[in-house]
Formats: sequence, C-alpha cells, structure tokens
Amino acid sequence: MGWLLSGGFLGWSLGANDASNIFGTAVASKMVRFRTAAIITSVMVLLGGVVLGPNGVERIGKLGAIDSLQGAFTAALAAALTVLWMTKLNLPVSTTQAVVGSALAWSYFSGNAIAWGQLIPIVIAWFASPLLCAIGSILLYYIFKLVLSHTNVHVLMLDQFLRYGLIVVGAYGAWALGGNNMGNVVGVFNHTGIFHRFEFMGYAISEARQLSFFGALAIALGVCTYSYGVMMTVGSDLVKLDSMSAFISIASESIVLDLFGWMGIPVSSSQAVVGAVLGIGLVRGADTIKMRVLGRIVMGWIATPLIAAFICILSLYVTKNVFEQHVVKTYQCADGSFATHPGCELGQKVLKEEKK
Amino acid sequence: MGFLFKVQEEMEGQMAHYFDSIGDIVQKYRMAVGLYFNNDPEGFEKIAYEIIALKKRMAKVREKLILTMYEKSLVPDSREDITQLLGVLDEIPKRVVKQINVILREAIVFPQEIHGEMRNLFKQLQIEIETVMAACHAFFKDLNSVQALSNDVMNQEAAADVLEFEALKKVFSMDLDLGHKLHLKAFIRRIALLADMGEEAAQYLLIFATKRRI
Repeated sequence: MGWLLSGGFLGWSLGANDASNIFGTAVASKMVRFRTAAIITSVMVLLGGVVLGPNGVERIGKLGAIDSLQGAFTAALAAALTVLWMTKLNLPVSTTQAVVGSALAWSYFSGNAIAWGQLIPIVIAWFASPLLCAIGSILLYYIFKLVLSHTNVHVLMLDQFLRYGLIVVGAYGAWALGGNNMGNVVGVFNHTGIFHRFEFMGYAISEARQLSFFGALAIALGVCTYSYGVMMTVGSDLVKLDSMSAFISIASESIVLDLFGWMGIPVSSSQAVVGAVLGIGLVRGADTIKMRVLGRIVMGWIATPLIAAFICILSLYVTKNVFEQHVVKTYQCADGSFATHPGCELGQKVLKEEKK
Repeated sequence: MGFLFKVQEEMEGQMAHYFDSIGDIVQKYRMAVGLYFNNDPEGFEKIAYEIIALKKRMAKVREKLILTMYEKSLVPDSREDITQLLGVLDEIPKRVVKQINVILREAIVFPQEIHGEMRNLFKQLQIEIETVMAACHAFFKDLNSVQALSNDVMNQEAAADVLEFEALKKVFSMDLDLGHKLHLKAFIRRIALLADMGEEAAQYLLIFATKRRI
C-alpha cells in the first residue's frame, strides 16, 4: 500500500491546483467563501470520482500500461512533483499533461510501444476543451445579457441568484472534475494489482473503483489544505471577473468537463477554465486580459509534459539502478529469453513472470 | 423560495425607502419654505423638525445598508460604488437641514417681490431631485434607463441654474441694502448647490451604470 502514496501525493497536488478551476473565479470575486467552496468540492469530487472515475482510470491505465507497482509509484511521483512545482509558482498546470508525460516516459524507458489509440484523443482534447469552453462562455454571456436586458431584477436579487448559481455550477463542476481526473491521479496503478475486486452487498467493487475512492480522498485533502492561492490566481490574475462572468465561465467549463467525462476522455480542467475565462475576456474586450499572465499559463502547458517526462525518466533510472527496484516487469518468453510483456507478444507466448 | 432571498428583499425595501425619503425631504423643505413665505413660522418649524427626524432615520438606514453589504459580503462588484452613491446622496438631507438651521438662526427676510422666483427655484429643485431618485431606482433595477434619467437630471440642473440667475438678478435689482442682498444671495446659492449635488449624483450613477455594463 505504501507504493500508492505517490498517487495520493498526485491527488493532493491535483486537489490543491484544480479546485481553482471550479471555484477559483467565485472565491476570487468573493461570491463564495473559500470554506464553502472547499467543502462542496471535496464532497462532489468524492461522489464524481467513485461513480464516473473508473472509466478514466482504465483509459490512463491503457495509455502507459504500467505493470510494475514500483514503476507506477515512480511515474505518479514524477507527475506529482511536476504539478507541485508548478503550483508553487502559482501556475494552473494540467495534471493530465503531467501524467501523460510520465506515462509516455515510462513507455519509452520500458521499451513498450506508445498506445497512440489512447493518446491521440487525449491530445485532441487538450486543444478542443479550452476552445469549446471559450465558445460556451461567449454563447452563455450573450444569452444572459439578452435575458437580463428583458428582466428588471434588482441588483441585490441578481447577486444572490448568482451566489446560489455559482454554488450549483461549482458542485456540478466538482462532480465532473472527480469523474474526469481520477484517471490522472491513480490510472497508472490500474494494472499493478494493488487492489483486488470484492463484493459488497451483492455489488462488485472493481480495482478501478477502489483506486478512484482513494484518489478522490487525496484530491479532497488537497482542496482543503492548499488550493486557496491558486484560486486567487485563476480568479483575479488572468482577467478581473465580475460575479456574472464567474458564473458563466464555471458553467461553461463544467458542461465541457462533463461532456468529455461522458466520452471517457480525461481533459484538463486547467485548460478548460483558461478557455472559459478567455472567452469572457474576448467579449468584454481583449484589453482586459492580462496577456503576461496568460503567457505564463501557456508556457506552463508546454513545459508540464516535458518536465514530467524528464523527471520520470530520471526517477525511473534512479529507482532501478540505485534502489534496485523493478520499475518494469520482465517475463520469460517461450524461447527462454527475457522481455517485457509486449516484447513477448511479438509471436511468442509468455511463460511466467520473472522472479529474480 | 422567499427565505433564500430574505436579506435581499429587506435591503431592497430599505434602499427604496431611503431614496423615497430623500425625495420626501426636498418636498417637505419646499413646503416649509412656502409656509415661511406665508408668514407661518410655526408651520415652518413643525415641518423643519419632521425633516430633521427623517434625516436621522435615514442616516441609520444608510449605515445599516452599508454594514449589511460588507458583513454579508453582498454585491462585491458594485459594493464600493453603492457605498459611494449613498454617501453622495446623504449630502442632500444634510444640506437641507443646514439650510433650515440657517433660516431659523438668521431669520432671513424674503421680500414679497422675489417669492415667485424662489418658489420656481424650489419647484425645479424638487423635480430634479425626484428625477435623481428615479435614476437611483433604475440603477438597481433597470440599468437601461439610467442614461436617459441622468441626462434629464443634467437638463433640470441647467434649468435650476437659469432660475438661480433670475432670482439673483431680481435680488440685485431691488431697493435693498447691500447686506440684505448678500444675505439673500448666499441663501439662493445654497439652494443652487443642492441642485448641483443632484447633478453630481447623476454623474456618479452614469459612471457606475457604465461600469456595471462592461
């Protein structure tokens, strides 16, 4: 179980960083208190993670197909360190990119082929999700503007309506975040056999669901202990948001996250929220966007998978050669030679797992 | 559903009452001065004390509104603007009370010949302040009307300036000693300043409304 700690650390990092994508704008605009946001996010992430999370866990599991517990530990640790470092710099990084960077680094290190069928939809989603969020924000902005111009709602009533609205869309977003990001947190452990399927009151609890529950708890801990600073960065540094814009951006982001969640593609909530906030900035006039902060965020996107991959390869090397751990399982093939699992699949039958 | 918006409903009512009270104060002031012109000092004093009491109640309502907004962290986007607006509006009852005190303390003598001009000036002031209050209501409920109402206020203030000029011209064309003329001039200027405050409030409303629209 100790090997799972790096997954817990990654979950904690994700909670600290990505809660800002759900409630950052609301907390920064002082419409929702941080404590309220943290409690709602924790509960909904747990629910979303346990119910929807296993789909994402299986997809990320297939991407790297990491079959060694020590390898999964190292990959998750590398991703977590990357996210933590970027979070320290107050940059809303993508945990998806960090995990994908680590998983690909493991594939490279182990000599396994890259699962392009899993990778391509994820990479497309990296670009599609912020774009869809921006479009969603623009559409919602004009819809709300039209509705408000035809209704004479008092400022105080509108304020209270938005306050409740931010909590509702924030809870929806947290549900989608939990469902979407569980693969990023614990997906690399899916083929390591750390948990075993069991039945509870006649209902089968799969390994992926148990991993998701653990990941969701870790995320909740991250939300409650370390997310305040990033919330303020997302909510006020990129573009100054009023309450209405905060509501629209979270609603747009939540819809897109949920949409990709149903499609089983883990997307980055960091990219989604930047797209949503950018959409609002565009309709309000591009000069309201702080381009320097936006530039730092985009740099974070590019740097994250590269840094994660570099740290992962370095860590795998150290774990294998210094601590003498099996970061890649090797198998004895039918001809007596030793290879990784895909190596044996090239026309040879796997005889047994190497025990040395 | 009402319990979800209880605080907001209460505040909305208090805010509407606050704006209406400013209109009431100016209306009562006009009535009181009318009685003063008609040599009814007791009637004037009675209404003057009503105005003073109303001003005190308004100060408490204003304080409560601002405190509630900050305590409950309401309308974070417009809170400072609303506080500033209430501060500007609060100057109107304060100045009315000061002018009433001036009349009581200095026992200003208004010659019969300028009563007409003075009544016109007060009437114009009341119309302007009522338009300012309509613009205030609009700022909270009907943002699209703020611009038109604010423009009306500015036109009405210009009309008040003309009436002030006519009143002063009349004062200085009358056969009065210079001290009396200057005494009347100072009082007429004070009324015109009230009209200026209405215009100032309308300008703030225009800016705040534009900020809310962006």
